[in-house]
Amino acid sequence: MPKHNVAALGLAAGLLSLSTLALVARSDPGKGDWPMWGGTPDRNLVSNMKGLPTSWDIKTKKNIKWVAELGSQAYGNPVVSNGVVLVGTNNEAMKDPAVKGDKGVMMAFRESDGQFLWQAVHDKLTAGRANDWPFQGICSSPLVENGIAYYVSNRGEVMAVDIQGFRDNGENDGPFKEEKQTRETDVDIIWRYDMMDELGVFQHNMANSSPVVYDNLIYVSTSNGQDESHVNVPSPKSPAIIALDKTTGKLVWEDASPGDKILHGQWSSPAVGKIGDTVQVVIGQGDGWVRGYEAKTGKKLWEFDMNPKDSVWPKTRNEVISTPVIYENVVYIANGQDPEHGEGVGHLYAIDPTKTGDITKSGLIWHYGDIRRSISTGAIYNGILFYSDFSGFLHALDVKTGKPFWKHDMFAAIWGSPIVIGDKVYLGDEDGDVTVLNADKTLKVVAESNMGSSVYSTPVPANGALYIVNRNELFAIAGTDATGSK
Amino acid sequence: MNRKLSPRIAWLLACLAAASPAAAQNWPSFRGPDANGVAAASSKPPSKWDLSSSRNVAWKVPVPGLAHSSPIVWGDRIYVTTAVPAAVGTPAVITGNVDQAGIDSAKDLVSHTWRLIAFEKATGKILWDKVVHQGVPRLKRHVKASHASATPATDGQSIVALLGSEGLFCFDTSGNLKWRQDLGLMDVGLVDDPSYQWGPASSPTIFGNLVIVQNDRHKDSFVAAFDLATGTEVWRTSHDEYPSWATPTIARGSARTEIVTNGGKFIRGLDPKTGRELWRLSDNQTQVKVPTPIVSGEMVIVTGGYPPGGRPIYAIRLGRSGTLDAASIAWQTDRGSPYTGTPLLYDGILYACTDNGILSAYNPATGQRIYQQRVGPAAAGFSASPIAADGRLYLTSEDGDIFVVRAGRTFELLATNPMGETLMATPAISGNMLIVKTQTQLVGIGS
Repeated sequence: MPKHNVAALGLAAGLLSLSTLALVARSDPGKGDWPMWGGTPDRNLVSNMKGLPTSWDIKTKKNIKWVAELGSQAYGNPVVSNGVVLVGTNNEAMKDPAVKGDKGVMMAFRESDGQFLWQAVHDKLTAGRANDWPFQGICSSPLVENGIAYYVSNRGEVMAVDIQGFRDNGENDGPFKEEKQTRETDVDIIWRYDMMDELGVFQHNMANSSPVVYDNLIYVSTSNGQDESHVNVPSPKSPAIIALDKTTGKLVWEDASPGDKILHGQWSSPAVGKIGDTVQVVIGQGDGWVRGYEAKTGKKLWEFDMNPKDSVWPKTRNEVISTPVIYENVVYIANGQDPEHGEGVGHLYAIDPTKTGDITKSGLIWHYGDIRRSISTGAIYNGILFYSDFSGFLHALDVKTGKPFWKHDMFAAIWGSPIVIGDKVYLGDEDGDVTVLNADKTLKVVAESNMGSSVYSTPVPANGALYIVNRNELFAIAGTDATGSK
Repeated sequence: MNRKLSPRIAWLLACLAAASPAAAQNWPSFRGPDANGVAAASSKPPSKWDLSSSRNVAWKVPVPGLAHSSPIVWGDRIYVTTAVPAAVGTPAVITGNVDQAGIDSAKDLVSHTWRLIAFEKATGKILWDKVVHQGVPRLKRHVKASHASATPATDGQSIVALLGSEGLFCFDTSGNLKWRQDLGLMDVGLVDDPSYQWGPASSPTIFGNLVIVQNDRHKDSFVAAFDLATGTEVWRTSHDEYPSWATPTIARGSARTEIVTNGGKFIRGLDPKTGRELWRLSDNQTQVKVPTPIVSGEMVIVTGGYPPGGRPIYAIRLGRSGTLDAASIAWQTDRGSPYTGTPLLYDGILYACTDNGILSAYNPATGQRIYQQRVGPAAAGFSASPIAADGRLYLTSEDGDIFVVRAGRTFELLATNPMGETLMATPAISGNMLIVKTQTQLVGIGS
């Protein structure tokens, strides 16, 4: 009977993710960093990296390169860039003994050996659960570009910080220079943009968006939502999505299309991709619609209702927590609900974003209804779309038709997402199991390793290592892979 | 059952339950005889029924109010507790799938009447309906909980009902109050935030002439024993615990009998005569405990906890002392334990059904998993505990279905029986009848 929320909301943040532009580059090149949720702005969870282990053992330390202690809960996905691994968590690890109590913390570790480098500490909001759920830490997965990490704090601030902290000869990068502490273990803030102050945003339980970039703009969801009544949207005119100038942190454009129709909160993150000749930002929103915007201007190009018209919240109508994936001029995204709401029916769509206006009918390429509520993001590889749902199923579908090749039962809730690395799919679950399968039209489980506690995140590859966050630890996994079989 | 029997003799008879046809009718507490969830060997409730055509349905009667407590049975009677709000339109229970209000407390602090109702088992006819207590609940409840979540217990002469912060009540079989004890506020809720009031669910357990209650709450947790005849407190053992919802179990090992309690900080064995702590096992993996410990030979199997991901099943050897070491653990899993439902040991196999409807079968001697299977494609939301009779398991879902699964090493779903409304309470089995408390009624299935 007692139900804990806990993760419920944080979750999403980290879980959401992307693929690229060359600018709008496409997908991870298979070597190097993993600088954002999804690896690239299109958020397609695919990497060509070779030679990562498919099996490991946290007890015997087989293939465990290093382990770093996080706070008591971590819902953010790690990113790796410039020799630094960043991950959001809470303050229960007390990396700085002088900092006490519950906080949102962005921690930086040295990629080579897991050494703690610095942390950004954000006080909890005094409003408490309504805006900033206890102990969920920072749920946003940072975006790193040119040595600057961008993330959303538990206070609803978009942060731009120096990934080297004050370790670059103590240089205080600005415009923001008001840091109280400038030790090696402190954060060097470049700018911050407070969405609650500036935009009147009322984030429901947690602000979690994982930023994405195109050219000189940074895009985030504001997480604007209902208040604790679960009926009223206090700030219906506050935007659901914003674009900030990445150099100055100034607002460039905003859109508040969901208005007072927000069903609950808004925990999707944006993706960026080139559709025809137009670079678009695409995001799921709290009214259950997914929308596409012209990236430069914020002009709304299209919107798609992800729920059947006769659906009723919360039984059959869903919000959208997943991050869209943009792949070859098509948007792939599923809907679902806050994990606290349990399991239920879900919907997965392939949407044609070249259409304009209300494209619920005109933009429908295919619909897959044999999915349960999902907060996961998809991975497209070799004509196969891998998509997981909260009930514990991994679906492999024909990306062109939505017809299923197979379905694998993880027997535990899935908060993270499948990722294809090389020719394998990696997927973690609430039981703490990470399952590795062939990224193929035929189902084959290659290995399963348990991480000791729930894996709410998505495994990510960087520079020859695999990074996995369980509830309170960050693992770097690398080494030779014996047989890869169970 | 002769009402003039002394408690001691009644107790002996209860011990002989399996051998006696009369006792085959009895389901005297949460999960029945010894809280093991298994009906008498002669019990043969149906595996399929149909409410609309009344096929295999003996009777159905409305029960007012909201209660997640299980029905109990002694002889030809069924006893049910409920809490009936005075105001029309107060919120009903919100189950997992439609939990719009998260972990909030329900907004129903209006006057309630708590009632104990006796039904005739053969017909469903109400024999008596007593108002036990009236007033505004002293504490709020979780939106998914009720103000009458603890299952009463009986030894055939007395009926003990724990109505949360309203008190512990004892009645005779005519519904006359024998005594009442105030256990104080049973204030349970979110571990890190006492402002959340969720309402208790731990059921009282009768052991001989004692009533054992577990009151793990935000502050001043304790386990206590009361004299069944007089209500006098016999012993009380205080301990430092998180709030829990688990019911204490009586474990009869060959060396001695122990009370086993499932708590968020420690699983404990207590001496039933004195309450003295015999042993403890630190369970720092998880905080929130709901399931009842179950006995498997010389072991007790303990489950539950929040958060998931490190939610173990422990098989603990009975008869140990002090802080338990690894040698005291016969086996343990590192996951797979249900959050809410109590597992079931039946015919040499241990079954555990998780809240999201994944049923696993284990070898109870080794912990080795025999199978893992979803009960149904969309069977999610199991708060009630599985029970068994006649080679079958009965699994009760929040969505309103009772799934019947063949017991054994291979999973086979025999039937899905829709009850048409939310199901939170664990049913009872008496003779050839399955007795189901739905949201609004009591249903006798079979004969």
